[in-house]
Amino acid sequence: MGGSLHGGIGLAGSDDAPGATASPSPSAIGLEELMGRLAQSGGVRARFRETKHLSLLTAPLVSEGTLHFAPPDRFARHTTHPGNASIVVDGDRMAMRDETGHRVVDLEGSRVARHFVDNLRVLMRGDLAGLRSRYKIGFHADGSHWQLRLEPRSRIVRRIVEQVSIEGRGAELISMENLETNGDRTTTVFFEVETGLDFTPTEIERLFSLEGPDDPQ
Amino acid sequence: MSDAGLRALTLGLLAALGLYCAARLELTHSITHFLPSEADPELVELSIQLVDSPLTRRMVLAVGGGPGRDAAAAELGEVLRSHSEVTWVETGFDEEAMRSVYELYFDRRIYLASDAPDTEIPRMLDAKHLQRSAGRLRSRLAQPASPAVSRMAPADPLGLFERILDRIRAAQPAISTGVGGFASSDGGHAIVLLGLRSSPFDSSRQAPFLRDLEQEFSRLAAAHGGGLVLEKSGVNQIAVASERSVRGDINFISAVSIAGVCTLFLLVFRSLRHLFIAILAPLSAFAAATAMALFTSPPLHGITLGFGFVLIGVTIDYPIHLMTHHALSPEGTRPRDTAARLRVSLLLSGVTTTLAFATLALSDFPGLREMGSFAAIGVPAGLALTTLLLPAFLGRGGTATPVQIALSAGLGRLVRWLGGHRGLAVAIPATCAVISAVGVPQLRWEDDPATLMAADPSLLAEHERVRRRVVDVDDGRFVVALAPDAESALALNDRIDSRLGDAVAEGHLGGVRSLHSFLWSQELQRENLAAFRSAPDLGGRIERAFSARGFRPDAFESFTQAVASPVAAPLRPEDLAGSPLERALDSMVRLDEGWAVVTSLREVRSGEGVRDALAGLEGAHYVDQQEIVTELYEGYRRSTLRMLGLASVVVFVVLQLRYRSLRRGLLAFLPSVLVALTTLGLFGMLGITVNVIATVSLVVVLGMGVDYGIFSVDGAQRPERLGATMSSLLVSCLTTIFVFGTLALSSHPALRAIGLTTASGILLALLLSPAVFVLASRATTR
Repeated sequence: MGGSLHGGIGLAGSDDAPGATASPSPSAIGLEELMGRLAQSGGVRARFRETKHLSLLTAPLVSEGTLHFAPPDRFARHTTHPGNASIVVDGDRMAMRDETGHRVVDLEGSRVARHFVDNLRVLMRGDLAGLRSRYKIGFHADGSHWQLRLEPRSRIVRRIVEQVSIEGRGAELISMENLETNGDRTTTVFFEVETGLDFTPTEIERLFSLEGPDDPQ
Repeated sequence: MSDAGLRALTLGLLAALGLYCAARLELTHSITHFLPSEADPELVELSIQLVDSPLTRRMVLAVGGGPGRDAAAAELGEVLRSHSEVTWVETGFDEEAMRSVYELYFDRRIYLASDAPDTEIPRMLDAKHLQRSAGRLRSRLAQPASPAVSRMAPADPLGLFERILDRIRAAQPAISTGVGGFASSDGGHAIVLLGLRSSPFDSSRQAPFLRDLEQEFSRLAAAHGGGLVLEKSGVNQIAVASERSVRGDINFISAVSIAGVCTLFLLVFRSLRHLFIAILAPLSAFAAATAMALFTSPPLHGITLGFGFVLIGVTIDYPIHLMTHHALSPEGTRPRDTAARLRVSLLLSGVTTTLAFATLALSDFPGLREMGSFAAIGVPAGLALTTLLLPAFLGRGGTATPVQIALSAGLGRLVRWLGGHRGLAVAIPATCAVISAVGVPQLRWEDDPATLMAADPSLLAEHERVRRRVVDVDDGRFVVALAPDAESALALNDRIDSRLGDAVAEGHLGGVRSLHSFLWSQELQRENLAAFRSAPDLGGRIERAFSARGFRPDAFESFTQAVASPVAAPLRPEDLAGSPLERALDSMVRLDEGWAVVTSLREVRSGEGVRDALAGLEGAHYVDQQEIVTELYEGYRRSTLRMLGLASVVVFVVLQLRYRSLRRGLLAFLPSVLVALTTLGLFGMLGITVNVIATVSLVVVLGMGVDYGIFSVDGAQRPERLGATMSSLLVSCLTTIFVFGTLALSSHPALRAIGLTTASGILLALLLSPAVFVLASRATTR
């Protein structure tokens, strides 16, 4: 732990949605300004550690890997532990690859799939309108600490997900927690973050290709 | 009855027939008319029924060309949904559809686990495979979508529902795109799938629908900023275009034929009145034949209607002979006397022509039978009108025009000159015989039924383009499970799918698209349940394997409960009806007797390999429509040639009975049979391919050619009428050439074949006539 996904953002309390908590501060910036700065942050590379507390399992399931984001629409999550798996999102299409195979699915056609894989992409590109269309947003700031609380608007997603909390300190985005309606909980922390990256075409092809390893290029 | 009364009766009859035809006219352009009706009845019947089944009552629309395509396609789909000709529209597979799929299949996952439950399910449940399943589930839970996985996993630790979804995904005709709509596999086009209420061959419904579709798309394209392109794939648009092409040809041919014939009549007879009189015979022939066809077996095929123009060429000869002989008869001759003098020749000519055409009624082609009946009704009608009613329209004889007199004199001199050079008269038929002997062995036969239909190549290319973007299966090649009831057909389809899987593995074909991806027989589904139930200690095995991978021991009790007491019955066809997967049922076709389940094939590399794969499965058929129909058409072509032989024998016997002289009968017969052979010989030497329609046209040549022989032989008995006989034959021939010459210009291959064959044959018959006259004169003299 100890890194931040986006650096250099001064934050303070803000209020976005009806019912959201607000903690005004003399030096606070609003949610719009935060998202605006995220939108200008360029490409991102970060490592993550994710811990899932699932009722099916006797012990938490921990996985690690790397995230990549190339604005405006490319996002990749490559898991390296406990096994190799990848999720790549490009526009409205998503490719998943794990030991069971490779599959390309439509994101727009499934709000559930979009919720599970697309929150970070929307956040990283500073898409406040996109965020608002999918969630009721609570934005809370207290001193150097801030929290974004997202409640799904979709009835179908609400059956599964209770809320998503994204926390930061100062200008740092530190963790994300996904709380499910059945009590299952997933916490992701980010570290070794690099921002302002400009990926080369070769890197784009290597990191964000929707094709499977055996698919024709 | 007075002449005025007969004229009124004639015109009244024609008007009544014309009104009846106009009121009842119903055209079809279905290829089913060209599918045989007798041979190999099971597969042919199947082919005919599949040609007009839910599998063909559909269209694929591809919208491309701009960013607004997805929205435009979605809006187009919405608009089409309310069109009276549209039964269903699919523009995408949205979340609600996925929900329906879940509700259909999740509770039936145990029934639909394995194609080979006896072997695969025990293997699925051994310790090693269960541990692998546990590892796979754990891996899926590590992914972001784990909340959805974790909810299904307790009831489905083996991922059975995911297997079902994989099968369904693989069978989808198009991929889903960013707005929840279907897209082509290259992502460049938004796709709309729709079902048609009427037959795709029903142009009266399909033409307005296609017009509405184009108009609606133009409006939407403009609303979305223009630049959008609509491409369509559907049997209906090809059928409509073909019918439009036939109609256009018929209009063009009618106009040119009528103009040519009118000019000829004005030149020869210098009278519009004679033209009017001459046209009454073919009009009556055409109207009587059309009325009878519409009365007995509507709708009328476009090609049959085109063939009606052949009748014009046949029956207009009768009034031409009557009027020419009458004009060149001694002054003051009564028309009834001229008609009486020609009656025997005309009747013999009409009888032989009718008999020649009637042999077509023995054909296995419904379309050809219709043509044969059409001609066999029309020719006697035209002949009866000529001999019984037309004299009432003519004045006294001896009123020949200068052109008629000049023609008569010139042709008379020519034939008399030929009479002085009998060797040349013999050389003409001998040359024809040589052409036949040399050319016939070089003939190339074309039996592909597709070559008979005039489809716009650009339309076919568009059809193929769109089809390839969405449905990657071969046209006209499929496997059919035929069984007396739906469950038996599904059970057979289960076995077929397994065999075809082997054929794919062996490289005989690229893949299949089968109802089996969506629906299995009750028998196979119950075998799946039984296989799970027969596994000893199912719950304990799963618990041990999954606990070892960190799952809670009691996590999967709901799965073992579902095996013990399934909450749903096996999936039935009626369960799919009304669901987002309803279209899969289109491949399950109710036949007149029993059921068929059709499996589409992709990239068939070896038809024999596919046949071998199905060996031993009773009711399983590999159908290659082109191969079947080509073989059958070849058979019909041979059969038609045999009928040509039969018609020749019949005509020869009738001529022998009439002339009671082998030589004169043979000479009357010569222009017909020799002309038919010489025509084929010329085609062989010129490299013109011969199809079944050209072969049928030879029957027409036989029927018309014999008229030339009859008039030449009969004319030889009255040398003083030589000029009248030859000039009437020339005018008849030119009239026929005008009509058939234009048919040869048709873009429709079938009409073109009729025109080319018949025009060549009749021209040859005219060339042979002087020789026949000369040789018959010698016989008469003797």
